[in-house]
Amino acid sequence: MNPRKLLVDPLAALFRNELAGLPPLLLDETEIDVQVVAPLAVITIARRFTNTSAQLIEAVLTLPPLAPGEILYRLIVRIGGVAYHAMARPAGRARRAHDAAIADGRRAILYELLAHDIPMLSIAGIEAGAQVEISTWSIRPLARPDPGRATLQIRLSAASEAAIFSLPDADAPITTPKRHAASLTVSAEGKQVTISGQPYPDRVMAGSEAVGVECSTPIFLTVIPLEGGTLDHAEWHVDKPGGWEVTSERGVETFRHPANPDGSVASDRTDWIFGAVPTVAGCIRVTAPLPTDGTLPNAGGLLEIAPNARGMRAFAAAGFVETATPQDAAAVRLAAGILDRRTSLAFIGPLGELPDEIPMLHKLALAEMEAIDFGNMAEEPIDPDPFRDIPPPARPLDLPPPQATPTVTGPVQSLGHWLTWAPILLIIGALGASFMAINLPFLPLISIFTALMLINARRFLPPRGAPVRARLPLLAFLALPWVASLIFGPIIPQLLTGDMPDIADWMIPLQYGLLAAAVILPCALIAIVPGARRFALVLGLLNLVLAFFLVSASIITLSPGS
Amino acid sequence: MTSLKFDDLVRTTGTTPRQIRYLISQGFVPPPTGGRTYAAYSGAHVAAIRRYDRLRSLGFPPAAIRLLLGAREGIPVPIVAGLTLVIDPDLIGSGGDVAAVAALGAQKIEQLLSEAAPDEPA
Repeated sequence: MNPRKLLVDPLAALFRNELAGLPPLLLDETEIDVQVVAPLAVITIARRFTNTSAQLIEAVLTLPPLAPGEILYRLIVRIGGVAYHAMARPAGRARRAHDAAIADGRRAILYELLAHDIPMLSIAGIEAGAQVEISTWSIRPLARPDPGRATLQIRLSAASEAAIFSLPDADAPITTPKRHAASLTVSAEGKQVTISGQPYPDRVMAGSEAVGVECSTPIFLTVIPLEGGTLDHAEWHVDKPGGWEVTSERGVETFRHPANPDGSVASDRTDWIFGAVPTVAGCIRVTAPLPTDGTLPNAGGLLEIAPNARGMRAFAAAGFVETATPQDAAAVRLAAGILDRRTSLAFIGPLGELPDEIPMLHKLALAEMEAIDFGNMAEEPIDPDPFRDIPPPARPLDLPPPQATPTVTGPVQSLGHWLTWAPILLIIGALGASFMAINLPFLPLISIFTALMLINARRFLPPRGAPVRARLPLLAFLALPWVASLIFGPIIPQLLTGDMPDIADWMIPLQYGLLAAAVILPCALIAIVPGARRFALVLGLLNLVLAFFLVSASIITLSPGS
Repeated sequence: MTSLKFDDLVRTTGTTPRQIRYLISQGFVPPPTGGRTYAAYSGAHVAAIRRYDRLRSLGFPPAAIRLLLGAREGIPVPIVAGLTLVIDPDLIGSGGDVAAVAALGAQKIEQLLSEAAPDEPA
C-alpha cells in the first residue's frame, strides 16, 4: 500500500471519548491571595469544586511541585460548608490511616508530598452534589534578582515534566483545556507590585484589588519598595515569652539578647533554639526561646509552639535551614503543621457519618499548561525541603555551648525501652515470688508492675479530641474479671473473718470462667477501639495479670493442694 | 484463589491502595463483591491489576490499554524487529504453566527462524 494513501490517523482510536474512562472533576473557581511581607510572601489559595456525580466520591488532586523554599503549613477543607482542619502526622502513618479510613467508610483527607515535591491531596467522603473548598496556606521567600527588586512566580497548573510522568496513574496530575474563574489579590504595604505573564498587559496591582488571572499560565509578580522602603525584614522579640529574632539582611549580626547587647550569648537553657547558617554573604544567626510554658494543646492534642513556629517557618522559608535546635526536626514539623516528605496533613472522620458505600475515586483536573517561554526563571524546585535531617554546619566560635542543645529523642527512646522491659521482669519476679521459687516480696512487685503498666498505658492514650476517646470508658469492663474474682471468691471473706467461708460448688468453675473472661474481654474491646488499640492492649494485659493472680489465689484457697 | 480482603489484595499485587481504587473507578479492575462492609476480592482482581501493570510497563497509556482490552484481536507485544507476539489480554498476569508455554514459543520461533528447513536434519 502506498503510504501516501493512508488518510486515517492511526492514533485516532486512542482519543475516542469512550476511552476516557471516568471523566475528571473540574474546578469551579480559584482564589489566590498574596501577602507580601518582604522578603517573604504568604500565599493563600482557595480552590472550589462540586461533586457533580451522583455518588459518594474520593477526589484526588495533584498539584504542581512546590516552589523552591516553599513551606505549606495549613490545610482546611470545607465540604458542604463544614470545615475540616487537617493536622500534621508522620507521613507513613497518615497514609495507612487514610487508606484504612476509606475502607471503613469514613471521611478522610490526606495532603502528602510525593516524589519531586509534588503535593497530592485526597479527599474521600464527598457526598453527591456537595460543594468543596480546599484552602492552603504556604510561605516562601521572594526571589531577589537584584537588591532593589523581588519577584514571585505562582504556578497553578502542571507542566509536562518527566518527574510527574513517573508517578503512578492514581497520583499523576491531569489537566483539562476547560477554563475556570480565577482571581488574585495582593497586599504589600510600602511596596509596589506589578503583575505580568497574563493575557493582558503588565499592570500595577492596587491594594485589595481582585484581578482575574489565567490559571494555565504562571502568575509573575514583581515587587519594588516605595520611597524609603526596604525589601528586607528584621524583627527582634526576644524580650518577651515566645519571642524570636530574625533578619533577612545578609551579613548583619542578629545574635542579640537583652542580657548580651553586644551580640554574644551564653545560655544554659535547653528551651531555646539557636541557629547559624553560613551564606555567601556571611553567617546569619538566629535565636529564639521555645514558649512551651503555659501553652495549651490545640484541637489535635499537639502542644503548639506558636508564635515561635512562625519564626521557624520564616527562618526556613528565608533559606535559614534549621541548624541547631533542642527539638528534633520531626517534632518541629509536627508541631508547626508543616507538609514535608515525612509529615503529611491529615484528617480522619468518625465512623457512621457517611452512607455505607465505597467512594468512587475521581481525579480533579488542573488547567492545561500553556507553552510559555520562561526565560531564565527556574521552573524546577532545587531543594525545597527546609527541615532536612542533615548534620548542622560547622558551629561558629561564638555560638552557645554544646550543652545548650541536648536532644530529646535519646532519653525518650530509652525510657520507652525501660517501660517495656521493666514490667516483664517484674511479672517474672512476681510469678517466682507467688510460687515461692524466689524470695521476693510479692505485693510490692505487683504494685510496681501495676504502676508501670498504667504509665505505659498513658503513653498510648489517644490525643484529646480524638473520636475514639468517647469509647474509652468501655475499657473499664476489663477490670470485671478480677473484681468479680475478689467479690465471689474466698479471699475477702477469709481476710474479714479469718475463717474459711463455705465453699459452694460453683466457686471453682466461676473462677476459671473469670480467668477465661480476662482473656476474651481485651480481645473484644480492642476491636471496638480502633485508634486506641495499644492503650487497650496494655490495660488488657494489666487486668489479665491481676485476674490470673487473684484467680490462682482463690482456687488454691478453695482447693488446697491443687 | 480464595476470597481476599483489600489488604490482602494490596499485599499480593504490590500496588498502592490508591492505585487500586483508581483502577476500579476507571473500570480496569472490577469492583469488589459484598459491598463496602464485606468487600471481597478474588483472583480475577489480582489478574486484572497485574495485566494493567504489565501493559503500563510495556509503555501503553491508559487509553490504549482500554482500547486493547476491548479489542478481540489480542495485544501485540513486539519481541524483536519483525516479530510480534499477540496475546489474549486475559492471559496477561494470569500465571499458569508459564515455563511450558515459553518453551513452546521458543520452539516455534526456532522452527520458524532457523536457517535449516523443518524437514532437513539440523
